[in-house]
Amino acid sequence: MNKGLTLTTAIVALATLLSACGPNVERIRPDETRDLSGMWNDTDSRLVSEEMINDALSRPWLSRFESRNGKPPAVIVGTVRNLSHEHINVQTFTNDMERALINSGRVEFVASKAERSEIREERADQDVHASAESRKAMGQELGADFMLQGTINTIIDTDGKSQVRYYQVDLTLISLADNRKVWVGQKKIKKFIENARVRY
Amino acid sequence: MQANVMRPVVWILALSLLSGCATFSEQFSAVERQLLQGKPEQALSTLEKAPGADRDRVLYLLNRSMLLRMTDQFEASNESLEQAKEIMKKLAATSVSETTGSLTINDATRSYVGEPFEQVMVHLIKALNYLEMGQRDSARVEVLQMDVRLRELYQKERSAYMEDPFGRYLAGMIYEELGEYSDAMVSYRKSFEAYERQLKDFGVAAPQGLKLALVRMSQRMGLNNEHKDYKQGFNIQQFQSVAQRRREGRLVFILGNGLAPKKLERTLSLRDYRYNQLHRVALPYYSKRSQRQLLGGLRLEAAGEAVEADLAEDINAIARQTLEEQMPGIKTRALARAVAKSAMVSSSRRNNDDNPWVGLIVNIATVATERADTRSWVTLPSEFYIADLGLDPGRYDINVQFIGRHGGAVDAMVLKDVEITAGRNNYHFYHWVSPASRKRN
Repeated sequence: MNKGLTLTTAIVALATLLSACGPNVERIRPDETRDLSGMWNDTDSRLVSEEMINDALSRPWLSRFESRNGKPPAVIVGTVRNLSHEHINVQTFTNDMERALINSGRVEFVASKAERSEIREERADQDVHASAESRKAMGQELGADFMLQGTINTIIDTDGKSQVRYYQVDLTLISLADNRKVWVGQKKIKKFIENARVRY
Repeated sequence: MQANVMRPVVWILALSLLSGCATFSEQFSAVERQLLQGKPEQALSTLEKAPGADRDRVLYLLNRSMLLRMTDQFEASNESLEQAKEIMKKLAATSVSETTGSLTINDATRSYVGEPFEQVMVHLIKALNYLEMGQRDSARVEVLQMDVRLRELYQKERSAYMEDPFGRYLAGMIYEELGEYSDAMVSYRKSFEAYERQLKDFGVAAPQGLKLALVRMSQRMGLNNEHKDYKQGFNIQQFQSVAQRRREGRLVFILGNGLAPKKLERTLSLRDYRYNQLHRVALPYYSKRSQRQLLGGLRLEAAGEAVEADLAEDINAIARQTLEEQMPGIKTRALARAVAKSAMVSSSRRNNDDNPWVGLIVNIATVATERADTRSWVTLPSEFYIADLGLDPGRYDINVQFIGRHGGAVDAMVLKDVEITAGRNNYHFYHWVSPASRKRN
């Protein structure tokens, strides 16, 4: 009787041990917030880009441009410089912004420098190889009216065990015709992180 | 009677056991030997074949990163350093089980988190890797992280090493290149203060390049009194202004000289005849490396312009000082262990009166496990030198002369067709391990 109980306990213990071995994967929605280390993460990237673009689209520069020119402005995303304490993937951040801007339908969007060069290569290739009716002519590109530039900055205060991380994202929309700044956006995020003092 | 015959046999067994649990530095010697023979690729594969215990993961990653960058795999090297950084962060919390282990078994049972200076070096080496790949903003991130780390050190540690003057100097250069002059000024200033403060402990004076930077940047910032003081203090009459300097491009050559010192173990064994017990205390110490392997300097030359490198950081001195500062704690733990182990042997004897072997075996185990913690980031250079050469924009072959410990060139190499752009620093970090290790090109 007693032996049987011991055996059961041993098996249960073994099973628990075994289950702890393999990786535990759980699928979560892309928009779900889950903070692990307190560093800049996908949620920050998404929230900041959405909020800032919404802000940009609700400001007077847009309607002013539309009424003056009778067409939506063409925008290009320039560089967003990472001046923070972390290696932030700026690419996903700018992609998020691009998507929010394009999908708003209020602005036209111009391909970035790197994308353009590939398209130009293709056009040059068409010049030689494509049929006359399907060929796309050079010199017909849409020039951007505004460029979006920005920086991600951080201020960190720490005493070794706890940390206050302050992020500030600044974006500026600059008119390519005359260097006028038509919109300046700013978004701040503050996080308090407390690290464990004791581990097993 | 029989027991008396058997006793020497058991001791011989114990000795062979001892050699079985080798210290870290003993295990690492193969990697080190290949490195000194100028075979970093082989050293890398030897290291990767034996990554060691989980508690030494950080150490493995640190050493691996240095070997990877020696074989020009900068990105992989940075990945390795980043992983090490993450583990260091997790290990920052005090471990209950490991503290118990260090008080009952030995210090090397603790997870390796790196000495404070090694934790700073992670950022510095990573920044150098990024600079070598031309990624200045990423190097800037590392420099910012280093700043956070140094601030934490300043709050926590009471040590001669609470600042890293070379790291600060490099930070200043990165900021200056990016046109962030006030940050550059702050970094140069901190660097200079740290060189002054640490001079008596580490014996490294502020490099000439830093002095010129302070003069130049204080002028640019309009800090007239400070500018005057620097000029007088350093006895500098002629210098380039920030604007003049930006018309040139620069080749910044950083030399890693030799390998960081290696910890060995010093043991004291005592046989206590009264209670018939063997006691052992093992403590770490840094061995002396042959100075003949090391360089004494470096000379850069291109298009008739030449410049000599200055010593910027002495890792060897920092490591030794760090260990010396830790020694009281290490000795206290060793003593506490000796007491705990002796008590363990006595109680096992008392509880096993009928079987004397148990006490003997426990005694052997306590002695065999008494090993010093000899872990350290051995593949770091022993010293850093820095030289920067200003050149007009263009393409150059740059002659690098390695100068021996007693003066006179011992070797040379040419950096071929280096592009120098106005306002840009072109960074090269070269790690000279031994005369045999020099790549022939």
